[in-house]
Amino acid sequence: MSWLKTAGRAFFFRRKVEAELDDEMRFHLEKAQEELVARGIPPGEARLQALREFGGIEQHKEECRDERGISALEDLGRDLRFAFRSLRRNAGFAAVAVLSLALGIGAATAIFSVVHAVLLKPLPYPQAERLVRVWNSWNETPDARLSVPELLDYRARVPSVQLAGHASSEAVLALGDQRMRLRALNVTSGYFEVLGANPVLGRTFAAEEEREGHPVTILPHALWQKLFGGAATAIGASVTVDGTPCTVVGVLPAWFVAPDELSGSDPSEIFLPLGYSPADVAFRGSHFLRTVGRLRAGASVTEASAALDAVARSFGAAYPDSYPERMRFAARAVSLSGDLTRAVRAPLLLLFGAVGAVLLLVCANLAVLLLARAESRHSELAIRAALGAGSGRLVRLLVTESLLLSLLGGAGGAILAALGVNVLLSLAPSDLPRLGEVAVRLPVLGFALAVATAVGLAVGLVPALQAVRGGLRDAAGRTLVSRGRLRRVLVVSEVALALLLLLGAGLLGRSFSRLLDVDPGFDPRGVLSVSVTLPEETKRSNEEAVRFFRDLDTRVAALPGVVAVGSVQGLPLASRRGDLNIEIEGREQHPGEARDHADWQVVTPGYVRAMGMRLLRGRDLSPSDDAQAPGAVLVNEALVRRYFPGEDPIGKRFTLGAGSGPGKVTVVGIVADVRQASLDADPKPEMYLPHAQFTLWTSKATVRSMTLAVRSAGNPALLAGPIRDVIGSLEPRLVPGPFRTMGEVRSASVARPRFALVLVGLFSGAALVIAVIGVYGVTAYSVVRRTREIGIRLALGAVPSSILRLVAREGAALGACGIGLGLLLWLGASRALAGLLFGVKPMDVLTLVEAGAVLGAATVLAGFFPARRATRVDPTVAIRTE
Amino acid sequence: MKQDSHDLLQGTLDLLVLKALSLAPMHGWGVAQRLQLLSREVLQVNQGSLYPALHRLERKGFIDSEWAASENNRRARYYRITPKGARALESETESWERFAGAVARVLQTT
Repeated sequence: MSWLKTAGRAFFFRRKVEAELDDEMRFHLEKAQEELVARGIPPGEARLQALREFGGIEQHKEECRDERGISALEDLGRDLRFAFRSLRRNAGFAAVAVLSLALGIGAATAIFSVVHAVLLKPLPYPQAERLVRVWNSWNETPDARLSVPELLDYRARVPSVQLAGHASSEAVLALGDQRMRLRALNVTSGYFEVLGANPVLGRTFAAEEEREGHPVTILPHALWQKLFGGAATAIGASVTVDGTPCTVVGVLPAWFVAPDELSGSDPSEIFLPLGYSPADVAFRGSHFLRTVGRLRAGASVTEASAALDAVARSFGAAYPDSYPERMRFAARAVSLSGDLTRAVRAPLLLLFGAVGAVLLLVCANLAVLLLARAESRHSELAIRAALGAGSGRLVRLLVTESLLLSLLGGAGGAILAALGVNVLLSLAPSDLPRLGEVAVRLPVLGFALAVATAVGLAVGLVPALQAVRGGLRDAAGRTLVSRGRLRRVLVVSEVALALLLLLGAGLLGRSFSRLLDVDPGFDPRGVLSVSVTLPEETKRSNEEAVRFFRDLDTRVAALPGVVAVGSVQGLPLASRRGDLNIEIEGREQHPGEARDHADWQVVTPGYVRAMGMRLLRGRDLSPSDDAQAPGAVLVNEALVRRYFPGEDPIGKRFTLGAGSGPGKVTVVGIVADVRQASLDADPKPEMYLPHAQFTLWTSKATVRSMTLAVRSAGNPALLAGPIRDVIGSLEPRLVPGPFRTMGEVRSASVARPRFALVLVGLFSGAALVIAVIGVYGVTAYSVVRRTREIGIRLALGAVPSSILRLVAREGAALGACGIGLGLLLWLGASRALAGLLFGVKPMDVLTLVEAGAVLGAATVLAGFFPARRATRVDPTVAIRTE
Repeated sequence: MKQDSHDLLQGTLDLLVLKALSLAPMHGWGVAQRLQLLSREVLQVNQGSLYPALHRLERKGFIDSEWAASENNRRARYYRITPKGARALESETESWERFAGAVARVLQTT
């Protein structure tokens, strides 16, 4: 308590306490002086002797302040005030330091926010670490979905995983006069149990409901609010899904989002039972189910994986027709969170690495600036030490100053991060999982503060200790040599880091431009696309469906400004295609060899022209290729290369293998390869079948979901309204999908590399600026240090150009060393980038030379300005300094 | 020399100051005089270092202080030992005596 009293007094009545300390000591000295005078010593000498006997007054006062205990707090206040004042005096230095710190910390925090939400944060399900996903695999297909009987077998024979399957489709939901087009998730029973989603109302799907013939549905929370205003009467109510009345049996909690919808910004879906038929259970070759699974207590992913694989490998013996040995059929379980983020992990970690490099650069630069500053304060610190400041106090003073800098930088960084996250979100590809959850949150802000404080301490402590040790022991400043070396090492590292970032940005940029240069095989300019799905409820026959799409083409073609119209099953750069086995006429199938196969597309006759594909030989499909005509097919160059090398494929015939149709088709034309899955994926053998000849590949339902492509003479976006009217007049119950120009489709397909490029580009720009500041700082400082030497040289007759060379050489040498070091580091770092590049190697000589040249020029320039200042040194003034 | 005795007697100084104040309340100068007198000029205390000791003891609650008029009517800070200080003096004296006795025994061993 008494400590508190003394400390409190000392803190709140600082002035009074100081005055008392003065009074007390003055009283003592006066008494001592009186005493000595009384002994007959002359007053003047008595005063001196009293002072001598007392010892250093200021030191004793400082000791008294220390003894009173509060001085740490008080000193902090004083150090802070002092640090503020001294930073304000050096506004330029402070601004550069705070700004670069804010940039570094802000960028690191923003990226970390994204990494945290996407990669680090557990999935939003109870005990998410136990969730897995099961994939089949065979030959060249590493991640294959499951067929219904496979799922049932795994479920029955692998007890360590609770497994559920799901597929997705689209559905039109109607309630009263509301109609909406939604994603539908068709799930097996157990799906919600695996994910730990207990319905807030009603129940989940019962075990028998996963088979066909159970018209029930479960609504997500938001849809329930929208349709029923949150009323409990929703349970048991009927909604119409694709024309079938369905009973609502459950409502999901508000937090629930299906794992595969985590990347979607608009998770509006409904849940329907999978509804498999006895035929589905019998057919093992239809792989369309994704899975979610939950490990039972005590089971590990490895064990579950081994158990699943054992079951998968046993299929070959039981069903040799479905699983020939050469297929090498296998299965495995992987963690669900890892599976969802697999594709984005590498680019995000690359960005994290890049931003880490920027942060390192910022720290190194701050250290350089602080070191230089500590040196110029050499004499100030020596005086402070002589006046009784302990080395602890001095270190604290300097550390306070750098901590203040980093905290200001950290605060600025937090603001920049908040802004930056929004920028990131607007730039980010929409398929980045869990983007909606990205926000600057407490752990992220904590990260920024930790970084700021660590930087402040590390960067403040080194120069402070050096200054104190050197300042007290070595007034001549001999330690300056080693400190100069430390600074140079730091600047060289900065240049090296900057080179790494420049190389990364350069390569990503080159790779991106190669990607944009890729010929997609069609002409996206002036093409508008819209997905058109015939609702099941219209109960159109296959022939009627064919007629609908033919009529649609004809009616849209009649609109003003339309050049060509056609429809396709899977829009290029926006969908992947499946393959069909083909049996080429006159070729023997060797048992034990992989069968010939090709990806298949279904198109209407105008499509090739509407999309601007190039017909290389033969003829285009035409309206006369109808159900009565012999089967016709267009093939791409890749198919010709693979199956007809050195032959003329026109007129060749093959049989389509998968379905039950007769399926014999004749090649009528060759089209240029179209990039289907993405610009960077090599085109696969592909064939285009006419929609009207559906009997060739199926005996069941034909394709009812197509994407209309419309080539316009003017602005294609203007056609959206008229096209919507045409669709409405043909089928009022049809809700078309979103309209997108092919330019937008292409742009969206490269969103991910663009995201990485823009960010790494920004980072490398920042790195370049920071490294240049570092080189400039070191050279400028060395000019100040060598003013006298330069003066003498000039006085002795050195020409300014030789001085220029002398100084500029230092900057150039730093740059050269940094570039050399950076190239060495690149040997190790480049591998991390290799997987993200397209059409360019990590050791691309041109990029290496360019990045080196840009950085070299920048460092030489940074050294040039201080050098020019050096030539203007006035010898007479210079020699007198110091 | 002074520096050495200062370091050596850092802990002892507190004990001596407490002893001096246990006889009567007095100001810093008085304590210095008293110590010199009592030790028959053997202990040359660096007078300035008395004050950190006084402030330290006050913080520990062994003494407290107030401003009062001195002999010739000047304001001076008077220190007074507290009951807690008295107890500390007692136990410290005891342990000092034990310590001094032990050192003496060692030194007398022939």
